Amino acid sequence: MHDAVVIAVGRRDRGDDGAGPALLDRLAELGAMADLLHLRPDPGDLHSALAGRRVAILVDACRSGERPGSLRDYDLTMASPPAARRASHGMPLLDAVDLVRGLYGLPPKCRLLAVEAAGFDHGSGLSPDVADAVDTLAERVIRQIGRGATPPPSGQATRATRAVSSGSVSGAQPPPGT
Amino acid sequence: MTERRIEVGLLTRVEGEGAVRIDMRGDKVTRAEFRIFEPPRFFEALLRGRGYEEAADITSRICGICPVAYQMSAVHAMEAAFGVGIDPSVRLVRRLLYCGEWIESHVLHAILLHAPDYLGYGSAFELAAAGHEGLVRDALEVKEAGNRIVSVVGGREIHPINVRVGGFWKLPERRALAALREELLAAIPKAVRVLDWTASLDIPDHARDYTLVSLWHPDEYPMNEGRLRSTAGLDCANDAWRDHFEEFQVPHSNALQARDREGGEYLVGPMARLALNFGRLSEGAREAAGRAGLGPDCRNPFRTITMRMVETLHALEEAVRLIEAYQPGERSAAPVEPRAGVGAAATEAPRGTLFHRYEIDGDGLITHAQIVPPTSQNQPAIEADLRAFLPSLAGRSEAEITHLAEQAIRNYDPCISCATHFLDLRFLDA
Repeated sequence: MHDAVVIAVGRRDRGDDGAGPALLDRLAELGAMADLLHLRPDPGDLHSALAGRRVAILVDACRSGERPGSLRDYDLTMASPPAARRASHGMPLLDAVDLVRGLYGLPPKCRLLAVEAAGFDHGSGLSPDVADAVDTLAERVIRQIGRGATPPPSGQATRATRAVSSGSVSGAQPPPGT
Repeated sequence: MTERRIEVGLLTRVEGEGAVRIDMRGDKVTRAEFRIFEPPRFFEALLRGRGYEEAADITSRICGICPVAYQMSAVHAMEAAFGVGIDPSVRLVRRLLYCGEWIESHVLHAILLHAPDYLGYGSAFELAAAGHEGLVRDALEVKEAGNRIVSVVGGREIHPINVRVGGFWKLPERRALAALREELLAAIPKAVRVLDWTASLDIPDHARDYTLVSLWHPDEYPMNEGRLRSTAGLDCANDAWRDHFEEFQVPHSNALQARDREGGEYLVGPMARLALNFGRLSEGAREAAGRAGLGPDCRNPFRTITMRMVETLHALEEAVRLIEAYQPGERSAAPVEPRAGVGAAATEAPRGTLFHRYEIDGDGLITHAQIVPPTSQNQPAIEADLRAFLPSLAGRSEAEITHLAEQAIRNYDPCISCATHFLDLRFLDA
């Protein structure tokens, strides 16, 4: 287990909601020195993923009216940002974070990276703006958590589970909200 | 004479979009309607023309909290239609999978959704922030144990993918279950603490003389198998539900309701199971129930929060027992030869008896499907509870009446509980 974890929520088949999973793919290609987890925002799963970590980075898509592809970076260690809490994945992510913070505490460094989405249409891929933002975001995350020595060739990884020299993506596509 | 109308508003992020309307005149409830206005989802129509083997996965999508129940009733019904006998290892693993679902569903409802009602909090977040963080932590960790069972056996936590007619796509390895056993053992004392806590709550003193219906099994607390019994003396095979009960429609609900053939309302779920099967609880669950003052005769629906924890503890202990007894079979599923016929089965979902019936043609395609979930069956009982319990609060504030109405609805863990605890009530001057 790495002492850093990147946790993405969102669905790959709902347009820009797939920004988080796409970021995990990119981080795996870059050999990020972190565990890469695709989760649904369940407090129990979140706690299990965060326990014992030094660094945690959570990634989700958002809608705030900003330009699609805009990035926001929040420090979650003391409090969550005052954002509207709606979610397409069941419990809002920040509600799950708040519960875990209150019950167990969060890692010393715990940040939320939010990617402004253009849309969440069924069956569509990432919009061009968000696809570009994912690359930018991946570099930013790598600067925070480090990079492994031997990243694998790009494009050889599969979606659900892969093993790379440093990071690995795990967690099947979360089921739809209930 | 004071006339009041209480309306439950739109419920968001729920599986069933529901509402409640209550009209009171003085101390009389003149109307109590549990309204499910979510558009019909047409699952039974969707199944027509689909292969028999698809029913388990399609119907599991009806509910994100109890998908295993839909899978179990579907595969048992299909196996009944085709005369398929399952292997002992499959029977054991199915029961283990069901234990996982009971645990995660019961704890979710009892502590995260229902418990705040008893202390006047709006949510589990408030409950945790008000000094009950240990309780919520215990509950989440017990729920996680249930999630783990479903994940290990079913392939993932929600809408598991490993169930098929005749058995499973793959049986779990003993090594995987051995690790799971340790997690379950660690969860048992936490479940006991949560159960004991629910027994300490100030419980509204209301009870009714319900007709209780559940499966009954001579050797085990019922999940997958058993006869259909009631406290009114019914005793029949579990595929004979239609001989004794019927669905009907009311103008105020898009969900069919159910009644017995004499027109009477009845209740399914933990209270019914405990009433009819108390002696087959695990030893630890029986002891804990006794400590909580619960026995087979309790008819107070506000005590179902503790009943669910009794069943949670039973499911944990049963899961450990099943894992210790597990010997993987040589095959993961019995062969299935589809043929024209009719198959029906009922199993015990966390919320109560879930009945499936399918008509299959010679190509193995479904020509007709009937699915009767527990919440549908409990709707008349919910309305009867409102009519029975609310008059005692006639002189109280609207807030107090509203609170009891919400709590009474949540006693049943209706499917509308999957995503939100809140019932947004609004008063209108009549």
